[in-house]
Amino acid sequence: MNQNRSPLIPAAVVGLTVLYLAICAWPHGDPANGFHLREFGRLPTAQGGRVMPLDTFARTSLMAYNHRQTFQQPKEGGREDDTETRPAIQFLLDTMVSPPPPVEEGRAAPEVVQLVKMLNVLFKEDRPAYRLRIFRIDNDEVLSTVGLEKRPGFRYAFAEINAAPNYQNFVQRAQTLIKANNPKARTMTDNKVVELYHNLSSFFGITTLQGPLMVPLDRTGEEWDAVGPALVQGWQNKQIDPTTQHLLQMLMAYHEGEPAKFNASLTKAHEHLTKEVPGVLSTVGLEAYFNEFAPFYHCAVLYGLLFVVIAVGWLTRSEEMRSAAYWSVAVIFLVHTWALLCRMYIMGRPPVTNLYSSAVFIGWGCVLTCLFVEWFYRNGVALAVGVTTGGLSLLVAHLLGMSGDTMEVLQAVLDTNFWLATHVTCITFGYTAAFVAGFMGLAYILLGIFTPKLAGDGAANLARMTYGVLCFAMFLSFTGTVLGGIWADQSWGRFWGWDPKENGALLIVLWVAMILHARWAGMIKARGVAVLAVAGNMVTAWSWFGTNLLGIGLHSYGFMQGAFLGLVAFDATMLTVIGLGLAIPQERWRSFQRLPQDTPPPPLAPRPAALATSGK
Amino acid sequence: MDPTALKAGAPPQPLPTNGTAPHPDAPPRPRPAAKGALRRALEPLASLRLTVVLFVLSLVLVFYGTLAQVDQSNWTVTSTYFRSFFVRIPLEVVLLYINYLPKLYNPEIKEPLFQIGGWIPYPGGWLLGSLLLANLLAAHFVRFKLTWRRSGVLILHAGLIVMMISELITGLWAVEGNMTIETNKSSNYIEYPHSVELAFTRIDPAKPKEDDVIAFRKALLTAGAKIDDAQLPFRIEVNQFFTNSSLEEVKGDQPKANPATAGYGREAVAVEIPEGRGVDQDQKHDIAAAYVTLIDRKTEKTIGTYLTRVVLDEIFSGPQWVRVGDKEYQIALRFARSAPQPYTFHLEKFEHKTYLGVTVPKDFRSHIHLVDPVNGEDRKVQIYMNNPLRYHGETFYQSSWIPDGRGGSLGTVLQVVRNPGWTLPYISCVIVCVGMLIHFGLNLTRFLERRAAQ
Repeated sequence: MNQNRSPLIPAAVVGLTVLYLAICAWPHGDPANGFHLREFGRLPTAQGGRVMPLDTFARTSLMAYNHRQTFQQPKEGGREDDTETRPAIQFLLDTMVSPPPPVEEGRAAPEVVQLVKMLNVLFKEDRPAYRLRIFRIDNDEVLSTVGLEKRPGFRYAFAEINAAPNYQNFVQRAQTLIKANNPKARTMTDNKVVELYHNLSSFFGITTLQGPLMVPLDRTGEEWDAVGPALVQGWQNKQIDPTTQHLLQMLMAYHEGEPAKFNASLTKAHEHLTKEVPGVLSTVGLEAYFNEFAPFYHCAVLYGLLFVVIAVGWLTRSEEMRSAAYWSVAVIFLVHTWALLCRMYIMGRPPVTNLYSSAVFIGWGCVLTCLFVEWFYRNGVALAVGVTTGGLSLLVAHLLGMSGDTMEVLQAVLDTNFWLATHVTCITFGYTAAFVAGFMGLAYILLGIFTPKLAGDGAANLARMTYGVLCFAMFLSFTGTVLGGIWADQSWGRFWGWDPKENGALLIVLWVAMILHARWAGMIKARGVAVLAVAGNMVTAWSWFGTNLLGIGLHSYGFMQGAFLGLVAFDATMLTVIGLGLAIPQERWRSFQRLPQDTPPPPLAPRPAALATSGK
Repeated sequence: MDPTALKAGAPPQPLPTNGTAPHPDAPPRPRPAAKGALRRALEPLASLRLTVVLFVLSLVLVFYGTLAQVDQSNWTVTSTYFRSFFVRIPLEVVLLYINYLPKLYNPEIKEPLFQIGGWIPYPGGWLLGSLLLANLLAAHFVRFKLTWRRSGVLILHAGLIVMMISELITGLWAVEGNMTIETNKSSNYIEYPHSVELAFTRIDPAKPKEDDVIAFRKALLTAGAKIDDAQLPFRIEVNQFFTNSSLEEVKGDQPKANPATAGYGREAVAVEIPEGRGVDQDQKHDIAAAYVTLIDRKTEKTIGTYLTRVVLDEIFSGPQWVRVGDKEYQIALRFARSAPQPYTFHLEKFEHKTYLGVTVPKDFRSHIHLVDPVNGEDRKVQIYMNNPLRYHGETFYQSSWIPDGRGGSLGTVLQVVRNPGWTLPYISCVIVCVGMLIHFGLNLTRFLERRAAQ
């Protein structure tokens, strides 16, 4: 079985990994004769306090409406359910050229009335954006509030919602809730009603071109205006600003179905903006490319696939397979690193600024740690732990990223790159080390019980790895916590305030200290360390997520519902593993079953190195 | 299955061996010959097992002290759980997660699963902290052995001692307050929002600059309390006291429910609301309110029942006045105030910037003119986020601002902290980190050397 010496398979594995990433990373061009939609997505817009590519705006908007970054468009001439998937940027463009429904005088501000009239002159045809099913409504109560029938897929079009029998009641309910301004008293349905109302208003804002702020008002890029108001302004002043002109020509060309005109105006708009606001454009193109590449998503997929490769390597006892997996993970890790650096460059910030980026960073740290450990103990266990933790945390990041812009601006108190770089990075590394140790404990229990993998030196080596990583966790979480205290002292004069987030960090420190001291006292041995490290996963997860849930999750109905569910599922898994580790006596674990004959260790260990350290 | 796999388990060891021998990092056993009576006596206290037990007890305390903040303010929890010797942990806190598990099935469920009163007695932060400190000191006394190998451990634990002392000093002596200054105005006193006082201010027309203030501390202001002070021409009866309150305007059909018979209280009623919770993202101070009845000392007639509240200007503007004979008193429930400080802060400008198109604050800063005739100071300073001013043993932080109700600001709110131990965490942080670096660094080097040697 151990005859698999062919270098072909490992080379193929690494090659496939590189090929997969290369295909994903390959920059897609726009069709020569069609509308240059990608180029359009690279136009800058000011949103949520920062300048981003229009592509990000389109994606986050569509994500809010449709819970996806794409939408289904009926094929031309096809039946209603015969659809094709289209990118978010096309939804934005379609919506921008849809003339808004007429507004009666007096029911809106005079500028808006004038704007709506103008747009109805410019864009006469009824473009399909109103009929696109891009609003996901999956709550029964919301559906009945609006007066819509439940349908498979839960997608509804703006026109349908507007024409629904109870639409006015729905609007009234939403406006009452918004006016009351008491999010804590809202039920889940209330929240969904308000959410839908906001989505519909934002869609209406795009049709009236009050939507994305695309016209810079000065060279600093601090003040921006949307096309609609800029147009009204220009009309009144008898002088329309060049950016607005180019954008308007572009929209009209799109509306009339003339790609050549559209592309020409687009090029002019780009050229003009490059001259006008050179400072803010540097990252916009990169961000649009980053959106399309979606490196974190593809890294997560590959980490998952690599887990299979590692498992196959174990089953076939093939060192080549392990080595192939190692180098493949190293390649993915490079892309992961590049993606992290890109985010840092785009935001101009240290790596961790919000929950999303902490998930991305924890995944990165886990893989880094495991690549390092695997270098010393070449048995694939650390590698398996690395791809598991890396993949899982990128999955968490993916789920978190669905709630909106992941590069949101920072509150004034967080606006300090020094403390973000020191305290936040350090404490996130502490979480990372705690998770790696926890998953090594998990590997110890599962591999020990169900496989012979830990026979011989395996168990002692894994225990030693876990111990080493725990020491790191101790150092990093302690230092991170104390740095946090110092930041708090600098910010509001309280080194330690016993607030939930601080307590969460303290719990990790105490937990790891407890494990280490119990081990030094001889109260626990390898199995005890493994079990406690697995329990440490629950402590770390609670500190990372649970403390955020306390404020909004338990008494109210925030969107973190899913996070609570995830946390409970995670804890249940960990408790199951702990239960297994404690309930089954160790001599009955497959790795530790005694055999009658005494044989030398099999020639499986990849390198003498793994044996060397276990000698004493 | 591969038979070699089973053979791999063959080496004649009963169980994995690591850990059965004393761990190299385990503290050295005391040498029997050197054992004095004191050492023998201290040995149980120095036990590592005790350390582990104390860690577990602390973990539970910190965990429940966090969960308790779902319903109570951070301030309350800190004093009952962490700065106390014993704490009663309510069963509803212990059962918090179990109680809310049904929400996973149906998020609209509001009732907790178990509604049980009662509590569990538990050692508080002071007790566990002092036991940990005693354990640490005893351990180092009993097993003290200065070797290069153990130097990291010694250093880092010395740092921990400093840290525990700093938390003790903070708990005992640190004072936190606020200084609120409107734009183009000055202030020379500090407010303590965790405490309130009922103040009567008489402005003597002859000496318009000097206020005559008589203030009663929060401890005196319990419902039913009677306050009799010879300096005032009236006696005070406290009818009701709310730690936190909201104001509701009086509507036509509810005059009977309104206890107030005079002053602003005729137009608004205060309603008791739960105190602010520690887990709230936007922690605000509790707004206390009290209904007090004033009785004229001479005539024994009731002057009236007044509503007093820390913040009344949500609805009313200007102070509330009581007239007795020819004297006029301003009556106010307010945050407790310090005596006038030797220095005066004049707010020249308050800047408050938000990000483009959103309400997320980007920067807020106060331009202060500091004047201290006693110490001969006269300078202009800027206080902004993460850039406090340290002066006169106090530290001033940009904390908040006075909203003008239209998105702008009327002035600044500075947090003022006096903590004699504020430098200790910095020192201890450095000591512990150095200790850990030495200790774990030595471990790592040994590991790498062993590997290289093989």
